[in-house]
Amino acid sequence: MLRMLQAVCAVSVALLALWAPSQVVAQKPPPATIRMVPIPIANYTPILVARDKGYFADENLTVTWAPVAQGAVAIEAVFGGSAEVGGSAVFEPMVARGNGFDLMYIAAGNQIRKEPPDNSALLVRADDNIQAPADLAGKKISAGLINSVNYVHMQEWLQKKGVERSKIEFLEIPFPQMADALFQKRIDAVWNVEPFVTFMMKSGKARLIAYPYQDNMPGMDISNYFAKESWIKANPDVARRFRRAMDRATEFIATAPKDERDDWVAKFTGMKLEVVKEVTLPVYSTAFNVSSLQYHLELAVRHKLLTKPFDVNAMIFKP
Amino acid sequence: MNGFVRWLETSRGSGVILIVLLLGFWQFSALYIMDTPTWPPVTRIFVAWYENIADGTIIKHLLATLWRQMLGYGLAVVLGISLGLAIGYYRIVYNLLEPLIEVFRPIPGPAYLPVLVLFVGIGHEMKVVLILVASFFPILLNTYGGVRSIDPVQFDTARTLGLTTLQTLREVVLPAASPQILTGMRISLAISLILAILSEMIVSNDGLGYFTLLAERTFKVPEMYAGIFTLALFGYVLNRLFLMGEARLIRWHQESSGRK
Repeated sequence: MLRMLQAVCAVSVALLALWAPSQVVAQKPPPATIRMVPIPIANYTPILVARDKGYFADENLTVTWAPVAQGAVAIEAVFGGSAEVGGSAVFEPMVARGNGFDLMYIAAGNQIRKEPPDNSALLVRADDNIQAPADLAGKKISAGLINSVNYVHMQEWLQKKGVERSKIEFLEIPFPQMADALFQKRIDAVWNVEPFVTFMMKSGKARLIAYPYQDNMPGMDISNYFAKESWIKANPDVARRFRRAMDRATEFIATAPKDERDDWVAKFTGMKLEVVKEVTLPVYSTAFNVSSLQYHLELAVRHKLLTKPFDVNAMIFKP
Repeated sequence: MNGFVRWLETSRGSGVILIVLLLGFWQFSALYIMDTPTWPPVTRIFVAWYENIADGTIIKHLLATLWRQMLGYGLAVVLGISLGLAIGYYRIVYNLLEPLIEVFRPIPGPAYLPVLVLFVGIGHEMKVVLILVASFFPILLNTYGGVRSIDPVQFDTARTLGLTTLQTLREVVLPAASPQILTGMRISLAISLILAILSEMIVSNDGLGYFTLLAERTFKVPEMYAGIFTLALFGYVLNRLFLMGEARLIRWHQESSGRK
């Protein structure tokens, strides 16, 4: 009888021991709040997915966000402490880090499509006689903000195509105003992004010349999420949980059927659903393309935005 | 002690010392209190300033700003004074235009920007017109205000002496209204610089506003401060030059009103 009782006790203890760790795992991590500053474009749709599908809640994270107009503004907000995580092109945090701002990529985001079409394109007027890159010599071009990722890649693309930079006048025109500037002949070529590329092409007044990103490096990282290195080091667990939630959301969007993905993009960006259905979206990816980040860094040094290169691996958060 | 107080009263040396002390505190705080790239030491800013002057970058941008500011401002001066004299001198013109001016006057200069981008474009013309429009109203208002405040006895005297309209404008109206006209011009000078910088920050390829914003956007913080320092110096020099010119033009007024 005693032996039987001992056996029952032993089994109970063993079961308890097995049960206890699973209880620990099931326990929620301490709650944390993250404020984000993304640009309200399709690239950052996974933020909405992570919130509405409960991925942030699963990690006990409360995430809020405020849209910003430019990556540089996102960086200033994150560096200044008014937000924990920003969303921008991969280029700006890199240039900022090279200038002493302790920023790191906390999660991967988007890549340039490997095959045409891309979600940004170099366009000219349909009735203009510009046919090849060489015809751009002596013309006025806008690639958005001077020294932005587009601008620097445009320089690189022109160089690859054998067009002298000094022969081209660059103007800063915001993406939404590029169509008017081109069609009113104030400018000869624009490197615009979606959804404006689709609008311009559908108007019949624009003609495609190239997809400069794809010509430079197909499949390269183009945008992602960043945070201060000091914040990540002080909150490694929160950073890990955020990364996990974002990766789930990015994976979800990457593999979702087109209709479902378009719905999410429309909801996040505020674009009309019928517009989203027409535009080309970037590739959503949870993995960093490190060699492409290295390429961005080389361009930043070559175009004198940075005085010297650094180890790009050091700015990628590895949970 | 009395000598020190007298020195404080008679010299601006204390103001200069305060600036030097503040720069010293900036340097100290950047080196020992706030270790952040957004607050670089003053010496680092001066190095960036020197480098950008030595390689001609800041000079190029300064000249671009000066050129467009002076063109817009110069046009505003010519138009503002001409129209202001007409409005102040002829009651009919005043009655016709004053209500319209009252409608447009409260619109802040930058509010014209979206309209100008649509109608004038994004080139130099847009910036010059924006500066012109914003600088125009203070000159206009002060000019016709100055003319209308002239003692009617002066006009009667001019008539008694048989002066023609042109002679009256030249000999009576302009001298009497010039202190107020110059006040308007001085207000507009500051406005013209503000609008030049603003328009360069919004859409431009050159100018100090562009240089400063570009440095900020590419995280070259010392260069950004160098741009702001240049703007401060530029604004100061412009104002000093204006005051020197004003002192020569209306010495009689400044002496009679006790201004030195």
